[in-house]
Amino acid sequence: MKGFGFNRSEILRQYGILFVLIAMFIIFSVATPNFLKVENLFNVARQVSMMGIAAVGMMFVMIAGGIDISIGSLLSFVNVFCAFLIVNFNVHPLWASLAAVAVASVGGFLNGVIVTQMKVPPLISTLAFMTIWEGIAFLISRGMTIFGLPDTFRTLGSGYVGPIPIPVIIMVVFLAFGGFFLNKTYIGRYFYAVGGNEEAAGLSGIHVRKLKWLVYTLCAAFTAVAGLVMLARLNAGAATTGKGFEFQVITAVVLGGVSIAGGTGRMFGVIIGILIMGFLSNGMVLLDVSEYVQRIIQGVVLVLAVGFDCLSKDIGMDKKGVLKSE
Amino acid sequence: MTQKKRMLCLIVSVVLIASMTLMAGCNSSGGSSAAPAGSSAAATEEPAGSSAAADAVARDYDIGVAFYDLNDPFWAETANCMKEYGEENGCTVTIVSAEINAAKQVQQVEDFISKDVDILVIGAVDPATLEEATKKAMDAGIIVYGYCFALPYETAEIIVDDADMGAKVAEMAADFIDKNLGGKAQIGMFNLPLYPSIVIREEAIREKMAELSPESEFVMTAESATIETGMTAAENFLQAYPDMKVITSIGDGGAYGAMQGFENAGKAGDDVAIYGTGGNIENLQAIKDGKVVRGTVALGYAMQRAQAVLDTCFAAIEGGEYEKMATFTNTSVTIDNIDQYCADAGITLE
Repeated sequence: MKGFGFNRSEILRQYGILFVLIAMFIIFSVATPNFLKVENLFNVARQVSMMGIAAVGMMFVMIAGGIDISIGSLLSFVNVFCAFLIVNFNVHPLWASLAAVAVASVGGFLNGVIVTQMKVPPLISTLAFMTIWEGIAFLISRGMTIFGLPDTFRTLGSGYVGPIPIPVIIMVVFLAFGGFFLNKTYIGRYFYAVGGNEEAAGLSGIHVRKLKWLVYTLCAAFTAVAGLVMLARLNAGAATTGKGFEFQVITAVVLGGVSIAGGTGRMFGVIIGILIMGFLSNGMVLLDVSEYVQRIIQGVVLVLAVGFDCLSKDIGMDKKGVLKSE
Repeated sequence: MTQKKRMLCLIVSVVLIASMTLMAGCNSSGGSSAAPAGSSAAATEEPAGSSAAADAVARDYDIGVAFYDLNDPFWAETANCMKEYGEENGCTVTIVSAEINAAKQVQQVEDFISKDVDILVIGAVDPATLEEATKKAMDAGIIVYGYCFALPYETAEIIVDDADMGAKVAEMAADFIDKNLGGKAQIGMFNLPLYPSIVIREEAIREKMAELSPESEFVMTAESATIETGMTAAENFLQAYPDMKVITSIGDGGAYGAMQGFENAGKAGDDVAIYGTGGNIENLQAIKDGKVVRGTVALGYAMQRAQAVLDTCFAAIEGGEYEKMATFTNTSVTIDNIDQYCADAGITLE
């Protein structure tokens, strides 16, 4: 293999998580005949589209060394707020959607400001926002479901362009934008620099504070878009919609190789992480696996996937932590 | 601390205080008018008999409501109505949600005892864990009311007959299968295996279906109580069993989500039926509109339930007569009787 300029450990390090996805894909394909149908693959893609959109924002935050656990509650807020404007005040869906994204972005920006200016750890700041968004969502909805959205709005969640569901197209656009932004723009490269070593990044002239404001704002804005897609899919706004959403997204992002410590992570890995989450959930339902067993398997796969990824990285290092290929 | 940081802290503090004040204002004055239209039209509707509240003697009771989970519209709707009806009667009503956490609920009940409330309405997460707290409340002279679940120590209770509720879901589903699908169907089931009373409901659905529609088969099961999980589960069910026509759900939230799943898949035809329990407004609206949510087992309108509970508590505290043990009336609601049901319950649908 070395003759081609790479070795097995390097392949494992780079693509370990992909092998996990392929293995899972093969197992489910053999175990259930419906898994591999095009219709089911699009079904899974549509189901993970909200997670995919939000994962891009979360990836930005985590690469820059932060974390945002408020996105689940924010998604609920956007869901309820937009539905409330449309149903109760007859606001045009477009303006309601823009208003929801704008309010969410302001919240994200405030998160960034609190983290940078008041030096509050991101976990605490976003935990506070988690409860704030949740509280506002319940205050608006009073715990009730808001229904009666116009049929035109549903197109966003259940429409198709050719055979491809619209939410999937939106997700692909966001993933492509994320990949491009991180790899081809200097601001994207700064995210890695800030996450890798904040002090060094600051000394090299990067405006760390403004960059952090940007990542939290983008994360909130992307989550808001995910919330709008979710609202269109459900055709009803409920304050519980985003419950646990943050953990799904963080799991997918970590599964995809983005370091909790910041500074590393590729869009390719995150896409694999999202697909693992989606196919795992779908495959087990198709196999009619009990809910209890599903939870166990999800936990085990998470540990195995991340463990395999860590081990494969370790294999590629010598005792001093230097890449063997180097 | 630099001047800039001081200024920032000041601004953040002002913003937080202002937003808290604003929220408090919304909660106390704008809450009812800000209710969602889809549900508020009915939620603010005054059912027959509630006019008595306006004529009632003003009562200055402090009422604590400790509910199972306000994330669920069934509980949220009842809580909203209790607040409305209690305040109409001159009472102060404080509502808290345990979010299905028994330990949190014990703490909330203890807090209410410390607050020295006059009436305590509890929708228990786990009645057994409330033994000490409810005894303490009763010893303190508080009227303790068990809502949906009997409590170890209580003044009165109203409970759900889960077995009957499940059986009624099965009766509606079996009737649909018999009339529209030739007596045979692949059925999907939404359950909540972590909650014993809901398990009773699920088992009753399965047992009654086996009895009334023996050729039908439950082919898939998923945990679902919310619209989001119901939609996802229904979409996955349809991948595994594209000919699935019937879903029975232990709650209306999942049933409503399943409807979205079938509609998103373009399979919400006349031969599809989804049944739930609870009588949520959105599900009643879907039934009336002839959508694939074709039935629900309703427990009466939330305002009626709230009035029944608080009137009992008022009677108990004022030395009047009251029913100590009551059971909700389970009503099967389909397109055939929805108008009558809504008229009786004082619900206005669009």
